Amino acid sequence: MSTITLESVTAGYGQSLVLHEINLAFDSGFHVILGSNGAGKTTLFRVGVGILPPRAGIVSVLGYEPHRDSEVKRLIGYLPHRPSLSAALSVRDNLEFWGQVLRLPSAQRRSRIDQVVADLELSDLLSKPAASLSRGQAQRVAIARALLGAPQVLFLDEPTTGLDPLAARSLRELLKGLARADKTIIYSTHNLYEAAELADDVTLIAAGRVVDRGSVEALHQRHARAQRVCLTVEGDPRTILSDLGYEAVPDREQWIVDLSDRAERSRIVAALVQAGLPVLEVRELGSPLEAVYEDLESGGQRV
Amino acid sequence: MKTWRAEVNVSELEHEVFSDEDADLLEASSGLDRVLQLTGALLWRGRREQGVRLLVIPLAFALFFLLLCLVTLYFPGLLTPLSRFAIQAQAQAYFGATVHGNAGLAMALLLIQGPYLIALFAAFMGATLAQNLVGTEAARGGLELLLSSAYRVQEVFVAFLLASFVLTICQWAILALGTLGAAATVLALLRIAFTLQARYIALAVAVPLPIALWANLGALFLGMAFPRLTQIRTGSTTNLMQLLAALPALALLILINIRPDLNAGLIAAIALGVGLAGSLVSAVLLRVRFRPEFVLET
Repeated sequence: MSTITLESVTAGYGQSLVLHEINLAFDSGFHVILGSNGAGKTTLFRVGVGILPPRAGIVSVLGYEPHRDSEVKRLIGYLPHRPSLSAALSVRDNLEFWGQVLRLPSAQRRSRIDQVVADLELSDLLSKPAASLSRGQAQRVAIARALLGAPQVLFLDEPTTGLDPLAARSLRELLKGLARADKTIIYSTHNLYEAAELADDVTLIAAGRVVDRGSVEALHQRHARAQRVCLTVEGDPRTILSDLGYEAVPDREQWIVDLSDRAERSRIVAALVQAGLPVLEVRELGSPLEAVYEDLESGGQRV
Repeated sequence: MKTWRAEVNVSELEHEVFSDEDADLLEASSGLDRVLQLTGALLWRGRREQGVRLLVIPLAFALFFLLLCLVTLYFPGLLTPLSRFAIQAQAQAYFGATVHGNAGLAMALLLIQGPYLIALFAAFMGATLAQNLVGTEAARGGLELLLSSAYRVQEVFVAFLLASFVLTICQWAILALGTLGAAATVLALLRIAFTLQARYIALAVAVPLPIALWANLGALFLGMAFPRLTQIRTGSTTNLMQLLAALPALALLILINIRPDLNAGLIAAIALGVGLAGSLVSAVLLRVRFRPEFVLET
């Protein structure tokens, strides 16, 4: 049995439907949900967490329907799109309040607060009122709150928004550790590098439907037709590449070429070698998911 | 699909998806336990958020009422001899006291009018506290977060109601002690003998309870059923919501004021019963009619 399953789930707000016939299953590990603004990621999270009941279909988390069986929500951690902290309370009080909401016994509450404070490096902020925190600091506190109940399942809606690069990296390391410890992490992000680094698999969502799902490499194979490469060549390849219909832009000792298709890579390498220009290196530029995302945005083929 | 039940066999779950620790954590608790736990958390947060304001606001009102009475009596021309006579007659009727001197009259006036003023305060404070609780929560996304935790919507509603009721009653008690206690102390210091009748005690102690509950209930129900209204921070809408929420409580107060022959204690008891029944009906209504999208940003 998967940790999370969604079977033919349709959901929305009022008259408008946002999710259509979603079928997904997640086991422990790191699962990235990728989609543009308004694609339905947040709604998918709300359905998974049990805030929004599905209009049709079945949602199951750890074997229970979270919108009906509210106790199972104690095993779910949720980071909403906004930090939603009590502005007048200090960071410690915000965590203390949430520990009480989670019904953690006081000794366990204290030790869990100490743990998440250490994990998220919040000790310097503990006595500060939440109102005085920067966006990134507030986001770290909100992540700490999501982790407070030591949940089995984590829904994190764009957790690195507002974090500085070092804090984002620390968080990624922390989450990777949790994924290795058999937790199920559902993670939405617009950061394609982050998605490529973390994801055991990526689910592509567009207009409330699952467009595709798979490992980063598999999605890349399926969607990434266009590609930017960096060539290291002994000599000037511009004439040869021009004959093949490509423009090579010099970049220090290398050349940047935009290929219309990944398959073209071997053709240009062969042409250069044949022309007596040894190719020392061919390196893909950008995140492997960048091309996937571009394909998705341009209405790429749904599967 | 499994359904959560209080008698769920935790050991069965261990073999499926949970660790021992999770199974302990997931020991099913009753709805009442959950409501009380959440109420405790909300009260704890309310106390931390409000801090000394919880004490200062009612004391400031007590001071204001005190000054109002003193100014009324000490400024020549504000009270006609007939009004002074009326206060003396009321003091005689209410407390069996023969009041003399400006200070004595002021304190008698405060004692006579105090319960009404304090109940009025309870109505508006109750509506404001409850509305702030749910309105602020909805505005900052806290309701979404609470709904993601292990509580049903009707449990969240009842916990909000209990928390705002307790906070309102605390503020009312501080105000009542400040106002009526000060007035009674001054009268005693002036050696004016008086006795408090049962009707007066009912009016001062019992009536504010349903009034606070009604105001809390009105504000919370409106806040959760029409959260968009509480999120509009233009001032006029907020005031209108508070007025709507406090309206039934004010009506009750007016009834007691214009019909002094009615038994205030009995009216308070009936009103409290109506308030409790209304709370249950509201919780059921919310369970049936509440849509999460009311409080979610889309």
